[in-house]
Amino acid sequence: MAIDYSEERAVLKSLVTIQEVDDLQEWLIAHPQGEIDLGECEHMHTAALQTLTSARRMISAWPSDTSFRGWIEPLLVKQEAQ
Amino acid sequence: MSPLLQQFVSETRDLLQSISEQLLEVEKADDKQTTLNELFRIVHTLKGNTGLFEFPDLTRVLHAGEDVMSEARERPEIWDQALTDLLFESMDYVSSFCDSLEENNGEPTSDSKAATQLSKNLRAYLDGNNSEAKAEVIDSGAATEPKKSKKAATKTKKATAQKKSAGGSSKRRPPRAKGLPPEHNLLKDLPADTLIEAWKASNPEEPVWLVKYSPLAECFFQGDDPLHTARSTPGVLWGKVENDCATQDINDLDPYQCVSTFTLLSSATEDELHEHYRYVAEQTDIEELNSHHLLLLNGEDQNDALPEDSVDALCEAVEATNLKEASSIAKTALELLNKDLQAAAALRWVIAINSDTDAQEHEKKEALIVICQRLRHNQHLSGYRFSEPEERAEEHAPEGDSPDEDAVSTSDASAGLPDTDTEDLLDTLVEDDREAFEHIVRTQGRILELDPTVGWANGRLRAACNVLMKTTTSLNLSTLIPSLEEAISAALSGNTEPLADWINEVIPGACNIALVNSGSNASNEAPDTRDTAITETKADYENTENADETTDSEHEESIVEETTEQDTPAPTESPTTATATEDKQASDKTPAFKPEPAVAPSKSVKVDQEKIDRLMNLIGEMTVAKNALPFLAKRAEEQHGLRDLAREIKEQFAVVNRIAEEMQDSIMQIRMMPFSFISMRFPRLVRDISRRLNKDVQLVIEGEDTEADKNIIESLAEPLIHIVRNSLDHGIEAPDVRKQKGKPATGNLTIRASQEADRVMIEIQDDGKGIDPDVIRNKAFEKGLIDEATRQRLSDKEAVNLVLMPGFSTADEVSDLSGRGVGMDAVRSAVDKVNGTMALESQVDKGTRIRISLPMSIAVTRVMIIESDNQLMGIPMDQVLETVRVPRSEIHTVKHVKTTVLRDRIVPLKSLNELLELPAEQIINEEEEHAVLVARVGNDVIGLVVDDFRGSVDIIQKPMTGVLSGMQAYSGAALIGDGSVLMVLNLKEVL
Amino acid sequence: MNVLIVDDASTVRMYHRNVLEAAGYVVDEAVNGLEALEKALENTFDLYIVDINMPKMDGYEFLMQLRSEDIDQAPAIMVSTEAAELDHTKAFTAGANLYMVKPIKPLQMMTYVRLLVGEESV
Repeated sequence: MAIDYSEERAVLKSLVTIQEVDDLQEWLIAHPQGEIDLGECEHMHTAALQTLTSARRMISAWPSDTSFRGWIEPLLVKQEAQ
Repeated sequence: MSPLLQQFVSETRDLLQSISEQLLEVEKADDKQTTLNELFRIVHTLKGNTGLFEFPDLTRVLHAGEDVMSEARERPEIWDQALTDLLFESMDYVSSFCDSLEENNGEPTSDSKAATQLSKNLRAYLDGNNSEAKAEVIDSGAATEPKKSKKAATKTKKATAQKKSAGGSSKRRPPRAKGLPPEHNLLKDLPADTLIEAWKASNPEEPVWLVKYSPLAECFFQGDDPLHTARSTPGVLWGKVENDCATQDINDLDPYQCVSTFTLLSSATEDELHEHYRYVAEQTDIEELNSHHLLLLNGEDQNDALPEDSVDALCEAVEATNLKEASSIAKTALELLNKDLQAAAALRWVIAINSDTDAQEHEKKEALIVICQRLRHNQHLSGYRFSEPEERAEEHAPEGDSPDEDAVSTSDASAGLPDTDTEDLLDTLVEDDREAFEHIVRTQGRILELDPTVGWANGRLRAACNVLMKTTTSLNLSTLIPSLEEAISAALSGNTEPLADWINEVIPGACNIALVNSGSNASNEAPDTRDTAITETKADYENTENADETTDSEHEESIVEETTEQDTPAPTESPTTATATEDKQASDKTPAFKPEPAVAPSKSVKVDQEKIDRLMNLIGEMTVAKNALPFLAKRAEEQHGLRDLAREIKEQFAVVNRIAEEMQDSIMQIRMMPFSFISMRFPRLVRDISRRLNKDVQLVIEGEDTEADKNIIESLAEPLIHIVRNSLDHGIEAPDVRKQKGKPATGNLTIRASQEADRVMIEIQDDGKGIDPDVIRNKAFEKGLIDEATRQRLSDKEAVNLVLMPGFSTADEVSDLSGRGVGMDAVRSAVDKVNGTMALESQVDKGTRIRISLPMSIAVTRVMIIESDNQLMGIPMDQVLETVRVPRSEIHTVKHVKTTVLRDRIVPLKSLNELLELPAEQIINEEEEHAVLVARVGNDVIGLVVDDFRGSVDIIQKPMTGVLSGMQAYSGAALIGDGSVLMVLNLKEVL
Repeated sequence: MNVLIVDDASTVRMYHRNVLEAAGYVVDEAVNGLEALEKALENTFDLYIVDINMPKMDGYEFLMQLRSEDIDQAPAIMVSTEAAELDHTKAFTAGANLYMVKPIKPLQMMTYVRLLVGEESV
């Protein structure tokens, strides 16, 4: 599992696959205030990204890979503001 | 599909046919040049047409084809058979592209990879390196059959369209003279640094690509992760994901539907990108970015961020090509600015451009000018007049101006700056109009500069005057008109200087006729000029005028004749010539040229098949309706005793009948098509197959004008192709075998069409090895098609015709070409379907001849309507011998077969319900009689037991379509008078 | 306002016709230079839109004839897929007043045509 869930946040690590999207969505629904930690995330499946975009959560840590961050930041950051 | 697209497809098909004919011609022709010229012209036209649509794959292939043809015109020696093959293959690609356009209603499915491969292979010929093209394994399957299931192709838009003009130049594309390159919406979000990085990475040889990837909604289920695909794009410089998930409630979100799209910049090569996106090519848009597209000031808008004098200083430094100075101004100003502002982005550009070690100075300057202009625009400062760089872009459609014209404005000091009044006046115009106006005026200025000694120069001058006057009038630039009128009148009297001045007034430096005048004084000397292109052409024309020397083309020779013939005055001559010709009807207007006999405008009209079909249906209904009249007459007479009325109805019927028949004839005529419609495919087919089989075959086609109904002609196509393949495959021997047999190495295949009375005869004859009747006898026996007695009894002639029997195939092994289990029996059933007959004659080692006889038109069929199990069915009258009522008692069972005796003849009886596997018993009438329809099927007579007869009717039979086409029991269907559908039985199949 | 479209490609002719007719021009067509010359002799046109490569008589030849015989000195636009400078010069030398590279965008064509025929067309 590339996602560690706690009450406050979901920590996405290394490669998040599509198999983990169901759990992620469930957790996001169950934890409307839950934050997202992408600090150690290297890649997430498009489906996971879509789920996160829809959830509009606070990103407590961005991926350390700046190029990866560049891809997803506009989508996730914009939502933070909403 | 839009009418334009339909026109495109239809014209493309015609052009493809011409190309195909010419390609076959090239191989044969001794004098290739004419054919090659013609080929070039057709391919050129075809390519030009594709430019009207967004079909990049198609354009790519045709562009390559055009370039190769152009090369081949110059160097016919590059032509070889492989090139013919390659061009055929390319045309197949084009053809299947058209098919997919039609099938998918204007949304083509196209195989980008195949297109790329084809274009690559074609281009290999341009380097004089044919071996490369040959070495490439051509995946013809991929090339000729674009994937049907997928939508739209990868689109590769070329921002820099003209390879030719870019060729050889290592410079970045210079900016447009007027205005700035359009800003690209997709690039607006890019961080300034990314833009700078991308700009540095791009040059004309290695452009930067903008990729837009919109994956399918269901792609996750195919195991795709588009984000991964996008991130792993080779040479990716920047990318972003877009979706609208944020507007969706997470509770309702279906994360398994992909709704994201991806945009990225890449510095990889086009090929690498196509390779990376090959599986999703149809969801990908790859666009080449002009380096100037990247020169954007992305950031926050604040219009007074920079003081105007700083901006001016910067612009002056750039104008003076003092790049160091510009850079230092930028650095100083940048320190005072918020880095997120657009102005700051501009300054960073200035610094970055100056520090780009790869770029040449003038490239830097061009880029800097764009940045400065954008900056001024952005800061709402008025435009700065930069002198134009020496190099000019020619890419914008009408603006293919001479590269020199704007250079003139700086080099030619005498022209001076524009009159402020004129400038103000032009400022009142809409931008598009102004641009067009300036372009038109500038172009006329250029025309004025051209050699005035050619024969048509006077007319050319007058046309230019017309243009100037009309353009100025149309824009209501009334203050310019009086001076223009004067200038024109002077020009027509031989003094073009005032006109040149007028043009220069509007567009400074746009017209410099000084050199023209000196040029015309020393008429045979090439005028001293700043423009080599003009000089060369001018020299060209002058040479042709002196023209004892051989000229390059016929086209130019004809100019020579014209000019010498009539000795046209130069514009310096009297104004009378100029004014005397206002009236177009003037008798002296008869031109000296001698037109060839007029090409009569073609009187044929292309009509949709559907419209003709509709006519056919209507006339069918009409035929049925008119047939009701005799019954009406009968009723009038018998039931109402109105004998006179009955007679009149009958007379009217005769009239209507005649008209209806003529109408039907005429409609049939419309549907007639020449045999050439299918026979034109054969030369290519024979060439391809015989090459594949290493056989040498000469094809002769005769009687291509023979006409028959469209359906008949079309139904003939498949069987004929099969027969031709058979002949090549099994008939005509390999050249060495033929020599051993004492035959010429080249085999002959003749296809002959002719008309005999109301039938069309098609004869296919080869001089191959023929069919051995003994082999056929044994084979038919082995397969259980005939019994021992028959085997003994059959004559040789009858034996060879056994190959037409169902289930018979002579091929010992299934070959790639024919065979495949579909033998001559398939051909025969296709011929049967249109009421044709066929016969086969063959002599061992002498050859085989197949004769097919077909009706000329499908015309109206008269059918007997019968009823069985409450259904109406039709049986063609020409098969019906008689209808009888047979008492049950007269039906006997002989050896399990029901029979009856009619006119001293034993007739086997078959129940139609049984034959059609209908569960009902045949109905007997009150007198205990069966309704029996006696029919002739082949050489047999049988009695068909049905429920009842319903009389006969004329119908227009249509072949079954769709799922019904597989139902062998019926030969077709027709609409009858009451609007119901009548199925017509195919007795041969039913029995 | 009458415009003669001279092009051997029927698709191109239709394209130009669509654009021009939508703007209210009366359009006639010729499939090559020869046919165009005959039409020019019989009718009056306000503008010629001429392709270069055509069978029987190409666009250059047509324009030279048109200009040299004083058949018509109405404006002529030469259209081609070639953008090479040499072709421009050849076109102007032959008697074209404007050179446009195919395909021409409808709006652009409308602007230029309106200016060249010298009248508001609508």
